[in-house]
Amino acid sequence: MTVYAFFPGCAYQSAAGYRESVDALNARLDIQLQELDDWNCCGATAAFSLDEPDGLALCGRLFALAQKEGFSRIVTVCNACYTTLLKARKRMEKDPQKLAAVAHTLADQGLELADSLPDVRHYLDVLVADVSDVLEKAAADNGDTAGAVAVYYGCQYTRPWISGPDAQRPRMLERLFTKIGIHAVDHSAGTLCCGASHAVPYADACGPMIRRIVREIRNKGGGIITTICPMCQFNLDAGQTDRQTDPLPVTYFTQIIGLALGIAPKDLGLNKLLIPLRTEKKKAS
Amino acid sequence: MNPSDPKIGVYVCHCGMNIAPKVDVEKVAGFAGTLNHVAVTRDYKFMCSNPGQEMIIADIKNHGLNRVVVASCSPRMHEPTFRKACQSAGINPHYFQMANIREHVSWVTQDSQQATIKAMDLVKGAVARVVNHRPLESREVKVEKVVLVVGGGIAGMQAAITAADAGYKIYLVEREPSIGGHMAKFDKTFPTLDCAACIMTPKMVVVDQHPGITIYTYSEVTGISGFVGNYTATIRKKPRYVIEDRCTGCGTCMEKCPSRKIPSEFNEGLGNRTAIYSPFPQAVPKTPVIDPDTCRVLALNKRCGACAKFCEADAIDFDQQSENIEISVGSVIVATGFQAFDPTPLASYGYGIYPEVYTSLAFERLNNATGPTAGAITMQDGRVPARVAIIHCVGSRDTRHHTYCSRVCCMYSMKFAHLIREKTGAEVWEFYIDVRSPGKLYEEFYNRVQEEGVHFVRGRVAEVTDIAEREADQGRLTVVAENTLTRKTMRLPVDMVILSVGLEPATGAKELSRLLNISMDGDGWFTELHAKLAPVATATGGIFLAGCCQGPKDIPDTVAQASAAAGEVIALLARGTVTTRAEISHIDPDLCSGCRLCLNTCIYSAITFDEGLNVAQVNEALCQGCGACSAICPSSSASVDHFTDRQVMDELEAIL
Amino acid sequence: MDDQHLLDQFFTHPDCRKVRSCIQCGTCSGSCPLAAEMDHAPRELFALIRDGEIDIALRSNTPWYCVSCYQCMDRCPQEIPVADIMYRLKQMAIAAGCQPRSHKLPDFYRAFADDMGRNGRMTETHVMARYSLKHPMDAAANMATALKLLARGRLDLIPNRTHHPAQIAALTTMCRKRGSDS
Repeated sequence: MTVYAFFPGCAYQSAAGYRESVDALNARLDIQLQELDDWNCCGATAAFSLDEPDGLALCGRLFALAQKEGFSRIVTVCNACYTTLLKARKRMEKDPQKLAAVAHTLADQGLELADSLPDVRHYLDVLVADVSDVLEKAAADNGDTAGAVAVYYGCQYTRPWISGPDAQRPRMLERLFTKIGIHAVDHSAGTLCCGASHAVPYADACGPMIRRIVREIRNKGGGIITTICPMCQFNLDAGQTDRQTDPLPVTYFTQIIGLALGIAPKDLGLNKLLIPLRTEKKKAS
Repeated sequence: MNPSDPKIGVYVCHCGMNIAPKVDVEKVAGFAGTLNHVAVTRDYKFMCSNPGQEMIIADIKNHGLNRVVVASCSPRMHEPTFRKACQSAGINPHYFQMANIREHVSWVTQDSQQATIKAMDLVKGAVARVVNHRPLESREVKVEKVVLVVGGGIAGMQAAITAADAGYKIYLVEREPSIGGHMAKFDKTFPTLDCAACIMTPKMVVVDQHPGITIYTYSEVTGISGFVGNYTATIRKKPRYVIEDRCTGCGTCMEKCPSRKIPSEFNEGLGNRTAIYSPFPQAVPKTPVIDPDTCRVLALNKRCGACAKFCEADAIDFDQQSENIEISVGSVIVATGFQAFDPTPLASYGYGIYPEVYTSLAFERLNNATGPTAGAITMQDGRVPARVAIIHCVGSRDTRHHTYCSRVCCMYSMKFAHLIREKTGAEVWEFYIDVRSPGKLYEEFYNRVQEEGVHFVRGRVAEVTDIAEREADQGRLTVVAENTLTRKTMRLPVDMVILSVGLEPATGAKELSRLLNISMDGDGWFTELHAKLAPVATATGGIFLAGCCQGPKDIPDTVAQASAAAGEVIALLARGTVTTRAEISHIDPDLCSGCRLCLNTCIYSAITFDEGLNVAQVNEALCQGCGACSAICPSSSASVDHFTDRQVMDELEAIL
Repeated sequence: MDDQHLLDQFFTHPDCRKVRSCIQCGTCSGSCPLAAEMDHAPRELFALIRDGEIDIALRSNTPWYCVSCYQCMDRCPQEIPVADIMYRLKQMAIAAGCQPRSHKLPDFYRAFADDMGRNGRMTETHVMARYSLKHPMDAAANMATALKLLARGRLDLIPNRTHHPAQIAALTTMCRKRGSDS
């Protein structure tokens, strides 16, 4: 069994069934996520917008906590956390002076930051790269099915970290879905921005962004949206209840995979979605 | 003249404002006067000018100088100038040495005092070196009046015809089954809109029928050795599986071939071809080729043989093997052209995702009378588009792909716009960053297309998407771009998108550059000897460049350059002899240990081994004086004239 | 601080220096999902800065509308890190005390930084509460959703906290100072 340092992030706690479904998958696939002891908020876009050294220090503290427990990798479940940590890591790696400054600030608080910063990964990477074999074997043909799923990666998982076609049209999750019997629809809205970070202050401006994504997915035959980030999930889920007459349910990818593994909907926290998801028993093949 | 009693003249050049303001030239000249053997020193505004040269000649005659040092620029440009001056004054041109105080000093040194000190050091080194110089003589070598042209596009054809008309024997090598290159794929050409086939096919016929030209298609150059005037080239003819001498080009084989669904390379994948095929109707030669990857007999080992069965000339030969041909040539013209940029990595433009997104080359075929739609501009479903977007600079002016401007895309994009308007009446929207139309009648063509109602939007397209803004546009593509002149983001529904892809070096260019020992720039284009003054020559003697292999260019420029390359070749070969380098290598038989390391090191095959004497020997006719043997020789028996240990060590010692 | 000083400060930053190589193609503005809301979309903002109008740039709402979707950065043919430059402009604007024409997002970030500084972690309800003191209408618009979330047990009323909030507060002094300064 591989043990990963886990940085859940602030939004994970109240996310609609994300925690439940991640826990269920971990149990089924024998993945151990060890929550970083006394983790703090990564600062997201806010800290970096106000002051870069502070933004780096917040992420530096998380790296120091992981190093203290001997981890070389941190797993996140949120695109904003993922991008913020990765950005901090790259900035500090590129500029040793920044790293030294952060280490100095942390030392004042009794924390030690070593030069080799831990790798930052998304839980999606763990499922797609590390345990895909186990996943394929665990796929059940007697579970619940929810229909045609459209993957919504959001903007910050691929950009600016991946270049080339995958930055615009990633397909790793669709490939995994197909292997475990989930019907994934092809569409063009997978990495369009949904406006989550601006939804509260600029709801009117962000409305069309949500509508464009949902309309595209419906046009391409998608019945369910699946996300990999609590910000995206909340924004698309809540954003539709106010403004759409015929909304599409917005799930987490871990919930959809859970269904394919035969895990019961109630154990995946599906009851917490604002737009309800209807599932039915798969016909035995 | 007694070489052991050197009498040296040192000349320090101001080079106008290039050297003098930074280097204290008078001080350098004064310093030179204090050096051993120096009899005359002067400084002058332009040593390379006629009065400058006259000054040297007069001093040699009046003061009995037997060595000359000029401290000026890089020897690349003016070493021959000063050597000639020495020669005309009656001393051996190799009793001359140059100190580079411009590129190595004044242009690259900030501090004036430091620059002057460095210039003095370099002059001191040059004086110490020239003392040890020995007189050397060049030799005349006969040349082969034969030219190898690599690449059978418009550049290669133009060069071949020009040189062949001058009476030289030409071998034209083309790796595709037919000559013609990219131009054979075009319908019309900008800005005059003359039909490409109408001006191209007559040239193909001339090449085909010219008594002085031998064409090897479906062939590649795999080896070359020798030197200017005397190269030996190896050409590999790939098996066609059709015997050229027998084939009449009747085409029955292609009608009978049952493998019919192979995407046509010539039509950029828009149409299909058979396994035995000729890329296009006017192909030269007419003889088709069998594609071994898709032929039922060759690829699948099936008992088909339909082509052989119906061939009245009995020309099919499934057992044909590749063939190596060796030819002696005096000169080589490289005309390997370009390939179109593959826009797949630019995923935002949807190429390979949305069927109605075409590359410019694919559109050339779509629009061509011999293309898959017989020239009808239609979408995949057969409908005529109502609105077409043309996106400029795809893969060009983009640091992620090619930083350079591909030069031809603006013009061909506007040609497309005109043809689409003329043939379909569809709306055409050109999305550009800057319109570049710097050619004869090009700006006029831009104006004409504007008057024809073509829309020009100044803005690089952000994305092409199938997400429609309005229900009515479902199924169409939407082009998203900022119109930078109105500051508004446009979401324009269109039926067809053409990506004006840039030009990049052809595949295999790198291998060819190694083979021919010619250099490439950072983008992979072959480098000319001098950007302004030697635009078609390369650093390797006798090898010339023509067309897009040297950089993107349009047809008029390509043809002009090809004619220039042919002219250079004619000038080189017409005299019948070339002057070889005087500085060649020697192996001292008393010191040679017979280890033979130099034999493999010499890329000119100029070293042979005498088994009887157990020593290596240099063939003076083949040696190019590169110095590789001298560098590798463990017993120091190999040395190169003009770069002897003594000359180099004394120079270094003086500088240090 | 005078404009020349701010300009120098801007162009000293390695990311921002790349603005000099901008070819004004508009790919960034065309790729931006909120360009229509911006007073000077990125391409235009860069043109202004190159003309010396740093004052306009620092007062512009553009950096504050940037949603960090990185489309501009992925597509820029000159590889200008557009989104990163927006962060730099936000930091400079706050340090220089420039109030952008739309200040809703700065207020939101301040509410966020304040909660984070107090508790070490962020609690959505707390950030919302703090933000709605300044912008009650935005909060009212979200009431219906909040009730639905409450019904599904998705509203954290008790704050998320680290064991050592003081440590985080110490790490984010500048952040909170800048948040409350202007």
